[in-house]
Amino acid sequence: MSTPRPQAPVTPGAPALPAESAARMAHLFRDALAGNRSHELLPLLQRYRAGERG
Amino acid sequence: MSAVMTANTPIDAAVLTRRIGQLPTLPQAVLDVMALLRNEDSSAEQCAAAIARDGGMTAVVLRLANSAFYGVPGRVASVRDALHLLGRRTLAGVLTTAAVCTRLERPACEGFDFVAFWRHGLATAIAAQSLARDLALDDDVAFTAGLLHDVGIAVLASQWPEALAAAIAAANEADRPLAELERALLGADHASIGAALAVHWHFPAPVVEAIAHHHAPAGAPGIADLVHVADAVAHALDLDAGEHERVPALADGAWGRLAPKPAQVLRAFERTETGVAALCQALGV
Repeated sequence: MSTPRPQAPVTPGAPALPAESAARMAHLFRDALAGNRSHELLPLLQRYRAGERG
Repeated sequence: MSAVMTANTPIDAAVLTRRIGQLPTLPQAVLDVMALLRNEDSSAEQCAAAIARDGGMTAVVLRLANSAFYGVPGRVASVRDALHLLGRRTLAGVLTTAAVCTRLERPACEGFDFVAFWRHGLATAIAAQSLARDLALDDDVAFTAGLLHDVGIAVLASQWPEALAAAIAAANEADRPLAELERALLGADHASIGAALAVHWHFPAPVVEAIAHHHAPAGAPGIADLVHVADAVAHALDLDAGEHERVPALADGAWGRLAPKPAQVLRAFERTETGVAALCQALGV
């Protein structure tokens, strides 16, 4: 039985991403997430990956 | 004595100074042209003529100027056109890219991915340039500092390949940032080594400072903060989808000092993702 892949926390208001994409983000931001800290870029990357542009 | 240091040989200041001093400098012609481009009293004709005297420089300038990254593909037929269409500051960035590209050879070092190294440098340069333009900072210096922020890794790969390979393997094994393992195993990290090379190559002080402090900027908001955030932007875009890729945590205060608006960061993501492919193609990376 496989263990669930860790997911990046969902930012309020940010569109949900596919599970694979969310798991990759959790891996990329593991330093911040492991320390239970936030990372300023994570919610912005979630918005960007959901299609939002500046 | 072997020219290759082992993983447990510390790189102290004397060793670093001697080895960096033995590396080739940037060609004087390139330094002269960059000085002319950054001197507002020089004329466009003087700049174009200085570039055109060097065949290699001219070829790279035209190839890059005609790349999709600069938005005028196929329209730039001469150095004068490149100067007119791109402007002095952008052209200085183009020349820096070309000069550094030709000075850094592909080293043989286990675990060091030369293509990924270049792609990350270019991505950080574009992200830093984008944020600098939006935040009214010097985009020319930002581009150069972003491009070179990790150049110390390439120095380690060429001068201390066994030591870097050991640090990469240890970092991957422990799942920790490479710089931590460089400091633990070698006594120096790629930030300090890259800054020493930037001094050797006569880059301006803000570029040297940004390279030296890109992991932990402090003090007044400036290019070091910018490169620190741009480095994280480039890692976040996950351009190489590497197994060990990570987005570095941001240093206390760096984000707050820059205070980028969400739209500016979203723009940096987009410009970086689209720009890096075009620049890599033009440079043959």
